[in-house]
Amino acid sequence: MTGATWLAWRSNRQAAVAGGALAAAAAAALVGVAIWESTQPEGSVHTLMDGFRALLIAAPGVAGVFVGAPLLSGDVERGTHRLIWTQGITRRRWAASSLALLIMASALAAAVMAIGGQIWIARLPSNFDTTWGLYDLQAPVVFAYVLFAVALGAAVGAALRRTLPAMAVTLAIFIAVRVAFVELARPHLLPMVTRVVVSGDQNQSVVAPGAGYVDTTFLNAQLQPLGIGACGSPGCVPGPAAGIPYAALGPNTPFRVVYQPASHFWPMQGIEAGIFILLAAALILAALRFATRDG
Amino acid sequence: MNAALEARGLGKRYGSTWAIRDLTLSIPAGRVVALVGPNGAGKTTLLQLAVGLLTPNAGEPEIFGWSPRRNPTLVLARVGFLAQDRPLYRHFTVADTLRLGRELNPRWDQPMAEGRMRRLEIPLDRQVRTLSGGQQAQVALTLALAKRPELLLLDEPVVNLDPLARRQFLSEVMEAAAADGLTVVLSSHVVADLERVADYLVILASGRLQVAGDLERLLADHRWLVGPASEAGRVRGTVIQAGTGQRQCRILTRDGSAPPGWMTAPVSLEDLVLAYLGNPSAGALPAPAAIPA
Repeated sequence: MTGATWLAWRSNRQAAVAGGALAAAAAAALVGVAIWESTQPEGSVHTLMDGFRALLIAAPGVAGVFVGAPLLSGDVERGTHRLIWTQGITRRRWAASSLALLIMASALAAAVMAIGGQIWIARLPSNFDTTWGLYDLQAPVVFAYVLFAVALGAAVGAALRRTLPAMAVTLAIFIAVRVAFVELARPHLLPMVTRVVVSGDQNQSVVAPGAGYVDTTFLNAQLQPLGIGACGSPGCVPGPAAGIPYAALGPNTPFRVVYQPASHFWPMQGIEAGIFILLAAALILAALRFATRDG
Repeated sequence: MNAALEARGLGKRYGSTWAIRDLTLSIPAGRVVALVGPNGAGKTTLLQLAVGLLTPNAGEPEIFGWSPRRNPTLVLARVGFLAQDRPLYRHFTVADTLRLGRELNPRWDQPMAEGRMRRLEIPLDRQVRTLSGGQQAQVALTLALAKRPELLLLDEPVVNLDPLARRQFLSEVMEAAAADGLTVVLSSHVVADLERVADYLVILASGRLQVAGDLERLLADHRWLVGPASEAGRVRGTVIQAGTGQRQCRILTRDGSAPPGWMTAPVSLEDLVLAYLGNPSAGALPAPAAIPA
């Protein structure tokens, strides 16, 4: 490495080495467990499920806090920006080199970990819901969340120019964005499929296998949803929401199912990953702007 | 020939406070300039504006004719800058610190940098934080010199150094200035540090330029006049400072002459600086014609 890239590497190599080692260890654990599980009888496996779930969900946040946030905040905090910005290169080159190294190293580590996770998921027993149930652990979103988190950390660090507050703010924003997105945006990344079943056995599945976000609403004869709110109007039958058991509904009560079909799974992963990679790109540009303002 | 550092109507404000205000200044190339003034006079702001660390709110400095804002790489290649507190990466080794200079500066002189470290007996494999303050200052100076600048800006370079390290640092600066014909600007609020080094004096007070000129000339133009207090009114010339006792008075004048019987004495740099700082309304600036339009 030469020029400003060497400096970026030399100043951040502890974070880079630690981050890379953790990503490699995580990938090794995921692949190792996947191989070990495949040698075990069914039923005795997936003991590490919760651990891996926590790992793949938390890793991007950890990278943002410990790798992203310190990148552009430390120099101004310690006064060494007056050393670096008065050598032969512009502040812009300095910031751009640091950010380029951050993104490349993070993308590499994220890819290694995400692929490890995907191998582990692929080896899970067939009776597992390995798609919607493990939505957060799939390679596309894991990869995109890592890039988003480190870019967020870099932008916040460049804006605040104090490392510790930048770490705290990065963590808070990352959690808020992630929770809000999962709750509000993710189910609607593609339009839900709606099916109304007017008559027939409720126990018979009308939803193709592999669907996610399945939501069933019982309807009255006018195909209006049953429920507390619907009662008081003519023809209202109290529904399950009012405490009436399903059995009381009768076999021919119509109902409506709303869901995401299995065919939407990977497109939605792609859309979510795309959104967060675009956000990461915007945050990198913001970081460049913040980092090069007067110290 | 361009001036090494030139400014016209330069201003920099923090919030509503002007740190530098309407500063017009031209420092000829090849001089060793003492930039003095009390704390808060704007010395650091001026130096940081010159190297492009700060963006001015009015006017624009020029380094050998180049604007630090519009031509940053041209200016950065020509200016060696040593910031206040001499910042270095404390966990870098000396060798890493020199490599930093090599990687970031197109005209870097590695043999010169290593030679200086050898001569000063600073081991290349030591971490910067384990070096003494004087050694760290020398590493920082080497970083500024080995980029082969034409203008060296040193902001309070000897603060917090012991007297021996101060002397050694300043003699290294002088040697480099003499060898390469460097223009050097040293800021300090301790005038004694600069007495043996500088040949040009700039005094800043409250963000404005108060004195600028060749040091020998300034020292020759000013003198102490000492005589009976009753005759003080007969002193000719510009009075910069007057101290009157019961019977005798001491007056520091520019282009002054005394009545017969008075004693005259030369002024030191420190006398000169203190006299001007004590009298903010006095100034000694080159005639407007001396600054090219």
